Amino acid sequence: MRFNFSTRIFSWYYYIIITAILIIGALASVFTYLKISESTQKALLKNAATIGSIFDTSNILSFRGDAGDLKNPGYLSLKNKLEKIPEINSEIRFVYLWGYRDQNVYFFIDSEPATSPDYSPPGQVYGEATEIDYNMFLKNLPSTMEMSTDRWGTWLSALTPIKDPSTGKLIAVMGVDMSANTYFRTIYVYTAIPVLSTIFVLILIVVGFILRKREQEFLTFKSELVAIASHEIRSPLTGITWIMDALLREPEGMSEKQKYDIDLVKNKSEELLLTVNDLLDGAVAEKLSKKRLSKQSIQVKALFEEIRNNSFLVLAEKNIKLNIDSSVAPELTILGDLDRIKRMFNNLLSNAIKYSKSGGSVKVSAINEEANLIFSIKDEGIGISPKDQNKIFRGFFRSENAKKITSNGTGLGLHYVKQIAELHNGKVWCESKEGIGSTFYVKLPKA
Amino acid sequence: MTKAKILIVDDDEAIRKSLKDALESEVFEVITANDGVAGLASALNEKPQLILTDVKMPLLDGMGMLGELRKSGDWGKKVPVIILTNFDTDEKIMQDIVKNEPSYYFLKSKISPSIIVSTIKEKLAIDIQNR
Repeated sequence: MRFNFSTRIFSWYYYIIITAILIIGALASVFTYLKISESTQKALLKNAATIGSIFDTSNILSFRGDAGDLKNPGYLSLKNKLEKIPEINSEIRFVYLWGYRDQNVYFFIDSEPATSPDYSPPGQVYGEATEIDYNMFLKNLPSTMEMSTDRWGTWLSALTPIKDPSTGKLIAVMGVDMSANTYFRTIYVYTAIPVLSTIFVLILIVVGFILRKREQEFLTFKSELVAIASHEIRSPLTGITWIMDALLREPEGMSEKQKYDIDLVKNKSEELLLTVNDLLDGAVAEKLSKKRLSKQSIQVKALFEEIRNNSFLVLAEKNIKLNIDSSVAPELTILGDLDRIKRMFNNLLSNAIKYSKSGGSVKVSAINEEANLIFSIKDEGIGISPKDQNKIFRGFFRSENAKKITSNGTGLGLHYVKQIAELHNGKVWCESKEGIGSTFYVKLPKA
Repeated sequence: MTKAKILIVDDDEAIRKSLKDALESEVFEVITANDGVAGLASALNEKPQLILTDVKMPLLDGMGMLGELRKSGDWGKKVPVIILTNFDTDEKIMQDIVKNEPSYYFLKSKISPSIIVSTIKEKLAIDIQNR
């Protein structure tokens, strides 16, 4: 016994596909991350610029950056406005104006109420200023996003230079601090899309591969099983029927009862052999592909001769007349796998005989139709009900009328006919009237 | 007229015996062998008119035996051989069978001894005519 299970899990191209998907997924994720970070930062800077527009530069120019500002009505009205911003937009935690003197960044004003512990009075030096913060003043940086962690938490700070419109001189830097949580959430949510899609596609593909592998293993197992069954079951069965044959050839010395019993055993083993053959034919047809048919040109006249010779005994037994169209031109040929075509016609003919009444006739003929030949096998048998007519070509199906005649049969004979006809780019169909008879048609391409 | 000699090579006793009975009830003389090695030896010693052989057998299978026979000389090249098998589902074996150009090959489970006997008679009659 041979069981050809492959030891490799997947072929090399599966790994290439998986690697390619991983690379594409990683690139897409990084690209999305960068794009989303950039666009979110731009959006935040735009928000900051909107807030900046409420500042009146001449008002700011009047700030001195010390406790004296607390008496400046311009300072008080701006402070009032700023305090409201975090109340209106909860994303914004601080808004402030910075100035620069004596190498220090200091507060002009902020949005914290004077009662808050985080309140920075005018002139208070910002002790945690970063390089970027200094450079806003020293290097005149444009609007800049900065992520920083200070004693108030992790922030995204949008820093916007505020210039004197008349001189173009930098007079202050406005800072808008936003909680980084929303920013990160947005980026993570968008980046998760390509990451999760990649994982999803990978899971689908791996599951698909595994299922395909399983199916291949099952098909291999099935064909091995068929090969083993074909030999190990059929060989002893053949031996049994042939020995019965030999026994019955010399019946002298046997009682009538013994002869009858041996005949019974022989019939039963032949029946079993037929069933096994049907099952195996079906299994073989299933794994056959168009490529593996050994096609040759088959002379229809010779094919008909052979059909007649093969069915001679059965016909005589049931007293059925077989009319084979003898007018078929000798040059008429079809292209097909001789062995399978013969078995296909055998199945059709043995059905016609099996379901014919004693004394009936079966007619086999072939009609020319352009590039095809249409064969017909017409019987005067029991017929098939309209309900069953489109089911009879399915595997394991037997029509109600057929079951009334005999309980024997696998329901695979016509399924085989259909499989073989279709493998030859042909077609099979039937017309039938209950009690009058059935005609089966097979269309096959000419050679 | 001397009886035509037929060699049956098969490891299955039921097949050997039933074919022998069927052939002997006609006008044939039958010799048997139960593996390819014994079959090849009998064939070369007895020079039968026709050989019937199984495919799957111990020691040397039917294809191996046929290959040796075809290489053995003029007689071996021409002797008609009928192959009997149940391995129709195995494409490799079927290809091997066709490659060895037997006179006929049959699927055991789809044929009866009486058809084999009539085929042998036909084949030998044709051979006599052609001589």
